[in-house]
Amino acid sequence: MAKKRGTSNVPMIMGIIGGVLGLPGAVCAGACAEGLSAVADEAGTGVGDFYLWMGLIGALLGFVFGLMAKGKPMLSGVMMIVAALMCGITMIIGNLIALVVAILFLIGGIFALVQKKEEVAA
Amino acid sequence: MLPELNLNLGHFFLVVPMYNLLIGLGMVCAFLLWTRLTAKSFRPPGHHDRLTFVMGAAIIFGFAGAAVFDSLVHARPLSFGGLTFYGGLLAGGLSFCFLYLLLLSRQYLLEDIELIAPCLVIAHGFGRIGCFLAGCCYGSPVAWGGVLFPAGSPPFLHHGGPVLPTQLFEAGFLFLLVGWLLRRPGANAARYLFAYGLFRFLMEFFRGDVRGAGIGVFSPSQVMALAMIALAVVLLRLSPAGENEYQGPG
Repeated sequence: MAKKRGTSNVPMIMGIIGGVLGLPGAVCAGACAEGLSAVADEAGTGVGDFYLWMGLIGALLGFVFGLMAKGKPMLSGVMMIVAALMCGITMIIGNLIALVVAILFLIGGIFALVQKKEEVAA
Repeated sequence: MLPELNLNLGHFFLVVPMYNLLIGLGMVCAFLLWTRLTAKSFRPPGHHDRLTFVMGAAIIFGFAGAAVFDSLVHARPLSFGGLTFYGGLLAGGLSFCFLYLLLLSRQYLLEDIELIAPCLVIAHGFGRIGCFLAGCCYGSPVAWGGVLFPAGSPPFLHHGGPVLPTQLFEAGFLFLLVGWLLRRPGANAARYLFAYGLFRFLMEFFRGDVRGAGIGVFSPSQVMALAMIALAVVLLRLSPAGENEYQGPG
């Protein structure tokens, strides 16, 4: 039975660059959110942890599925777009690098979905 | 030294950490090289895709190991602010072997390691340029031929004058090493471990940053370098001499 396989390196490149920039971005987002909530409520509410983990998991998802975009193009495309959304959410507390990461993952996800595919023996 | 690239976008400032960017560029080059090398090797269907997943997971474990090793060596709280290459190599290498044996046929393990070795070296070389831009892993102070890092940077605060650019020496060595591995393939992993272990052992004498508590006169990195050389000898004995189907990029 033939299996469809991607041919483009773009999702892999976007996944790697987004992943390595997303890691400090996630730490920054967590710290910023904790600081903002502390200023607003005069006490940290743990909201920083939420943004930290959201950014961290998003970066790891984008990185791993960027690498797997040739083997599993459809799944990788969808998961990279999910990763873009997760990283993009952390942008609301002023973490601008999350915008760059989200755009990179989004481009990678779209490329993974629309890339030229070849059929190989399973 | 350029630890961060500050981009002014009207009302917003975008700060891009250069160390991370160089690590990313190194990994991109490594994976592109790996794609090129594996195109010439025969493996069962689905092998390369599963191997890509194993490599991705090993990279993540490698970064975690690099952070843990750094915090242990320098006795400071765990963070991603500092990474140690040896910790990354150890954790990444062990997790790679474990996941490989779990998900793939052990028949190709040594041959796949042979293909991955030059890719690891190229990523490592870019990482060292990242170290130079970040102002870490600097050399000892010299009167002539050193690099003067900006005031306020760790090398300047530590030594107050020009220091040896050991990061650039190491990057140069690694790029030469990758050229050698690609031009004359065969026992790549063993040659990498031996050549880098020997170079790093000697380079440690010229390092000027805090090296951590070692064993006797040797720093932790020199102990690891000696272990790398020993592992290289073991790998040379196990290496499938003359059976590797990879015959170079050209």
